[in-house]
Amino acid sequence: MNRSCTKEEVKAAGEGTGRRAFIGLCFLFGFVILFLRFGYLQVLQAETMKLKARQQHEKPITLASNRGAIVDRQGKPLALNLDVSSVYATPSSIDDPAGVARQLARVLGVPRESLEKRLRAERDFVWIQRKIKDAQVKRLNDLDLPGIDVVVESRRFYPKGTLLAHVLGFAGIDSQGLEGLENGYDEHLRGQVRQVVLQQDALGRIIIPENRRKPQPLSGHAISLTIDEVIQYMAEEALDQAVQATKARGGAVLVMVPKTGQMLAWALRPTFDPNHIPQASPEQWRNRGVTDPYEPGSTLKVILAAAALETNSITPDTLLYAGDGEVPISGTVIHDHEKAGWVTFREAVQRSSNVAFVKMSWDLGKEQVYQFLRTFGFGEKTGIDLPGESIGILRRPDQWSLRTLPSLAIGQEIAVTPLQLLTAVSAIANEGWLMKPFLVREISDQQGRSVWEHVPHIRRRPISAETAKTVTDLLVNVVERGTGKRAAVPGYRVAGKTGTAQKVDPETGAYSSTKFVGSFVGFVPADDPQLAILVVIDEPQGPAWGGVVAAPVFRKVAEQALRYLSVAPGDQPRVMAKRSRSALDGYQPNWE
Amino acid sequence: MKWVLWTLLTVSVSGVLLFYVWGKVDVVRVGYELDALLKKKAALTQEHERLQARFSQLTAPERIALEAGDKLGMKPPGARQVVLVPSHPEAGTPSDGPEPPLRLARQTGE
Repeated sequence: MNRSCTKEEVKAAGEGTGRRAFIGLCFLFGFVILFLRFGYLQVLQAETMKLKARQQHEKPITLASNRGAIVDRQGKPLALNLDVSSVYATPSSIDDPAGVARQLARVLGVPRESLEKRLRAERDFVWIQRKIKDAQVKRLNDLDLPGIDVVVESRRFYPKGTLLAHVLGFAGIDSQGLEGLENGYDEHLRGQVRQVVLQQDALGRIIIPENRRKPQPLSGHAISLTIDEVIQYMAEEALDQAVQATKARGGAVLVMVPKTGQMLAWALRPTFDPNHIPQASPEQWRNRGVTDPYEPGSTLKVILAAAALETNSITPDTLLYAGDGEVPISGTVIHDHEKAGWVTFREAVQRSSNVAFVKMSWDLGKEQVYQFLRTFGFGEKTGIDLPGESIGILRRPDQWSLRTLPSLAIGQEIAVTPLQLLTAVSAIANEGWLMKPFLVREISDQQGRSVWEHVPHIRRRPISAETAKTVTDLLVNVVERGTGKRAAVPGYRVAGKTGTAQKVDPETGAYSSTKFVGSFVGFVPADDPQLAILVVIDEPQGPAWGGVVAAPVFRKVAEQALRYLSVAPGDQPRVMAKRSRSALDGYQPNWE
Repeated sequence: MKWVLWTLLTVSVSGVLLFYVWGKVDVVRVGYELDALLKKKAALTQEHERLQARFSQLTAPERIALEAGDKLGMKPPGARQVVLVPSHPEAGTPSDGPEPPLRLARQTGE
């Protein structure tokens, strides 16, 4: 059976083996190539490949936190956040910057050249326009422009417009606090911006990992104010009417709870709308209640009277000679508006006699006057929780001229902020205790849990309760019989003092004969003060007397606020006083 | 016999693997649902904030005063239009007990 292979068979077998070997070699070569490629990708290119995979699977997102809300004492919102859209571009993805810029310009109303310049920037990201309207977003979505995208951002919104604008301040385009409480409490309000990385699938959907919650933005804390928006409105409305009626340059109405230092209203004119900052100027948004000192005029006599009574250098019945209504002072003459002759100190306060107060200040002496002014908080910050507070101007006695002491007696050569004056007069309403004024009563976290509460602080006690009561009686007399009659509120005993101060003419450096500040400061009810109110009318046209331009504003605000707070008139003091106290107080004061 | 054992082993391993994969897939599916719900919640929160802002605008004292004055002809009550009414008839008389509260009543006319 054995048969030798033919030559052809041997040749065919050799070819078959060679073919197999060739195929085997091809496979081997292929595997070697694959192995090398595998090694190249897995070892040499490992980092690059990891990065590419991460770019495809991971989605970095910014968890922009909302600013905390600001609410009034009743929880009514004064500053909120609204989600708005902003448009941005990725210039590297835009092939035709000129064409895209032309279409964008039509939608956004921005000059085409400016847009084109931004679209040609060698950057991966440029803002085109922040915080655009919904209609513009819709038009942009319809256009579906390459390299143009819209992102949702949070914008600060002040639903009450100009109400309380100076206190609230405003936040910038990146939600950073720039003025007022927005600036002062920015650290609490702004929350935290976090960058987190989430996994995404091929369709870009977020895959929430097992046993993990999707991270949430950390919003800022909410701030609850002592301000009551209704009383704030009453103050602003009354101030607006007074400023319009007197054609004044501006004005201020501040309302405080004298026993705690809580501010209930803070109205200033001119004002601004924090929703439209580009249309406002620093002149409008400056908080004059704490930043701009002014000469208080006769309203400072309240403090001088308290000092004289506290040192027992005078009593309400002490007779003073006001002469023929003028007293020469170091080359100048200080006048009264009418001749008075001999008057009791009570009458001197009632008539706001400059001559009597000058003589009283001489008896008191400059060291005591200075000391009492300092003790009442002039020449130092009140410590209110607002940025930019001024200390006012009160020179040391060694810097005084011969004219300074008599000038101080009538409220000149001293500059005080409206808040300083109101705080000082509130001390008289508070049995001599000087309180630290404040605006924020509570800070709470995202879940509404209180994280900080403001407790009223007593700064010191400049005068005794007995002196405070005597001064109160003198001030009630001013409203019932003196220059402050127009501040009287029917049914309530009002204590207060008028002031009419000449302004210094910046051109001549002398007191102007045409520019005045009319003011009234007081508290009500005099027996159990619930409200201390300061009214300042700056440069009214026509009659500028504080008793004429400012006292009626006091009356209007006090009348409405007392009714709103359910403070009973004088014939029903017992029950309503208790109710109102529980409504306004609720704190045990702490020593500073 | 050997064949049966192999089949059982294969089916068992496949079953375990399928169960494991099913679990993972279900987690991802629930994750998608959760993400969709979170998006819905975010949208509702956004809407709530918008409505709250609008409500706040509409209840601003200035607007209410304007509406009450211009549209309804209302005005603040005069001194004689506000009457204090004790909650209890004996409220006006002194007593040793707790003081009864008063409430404000507003007359609609003089």
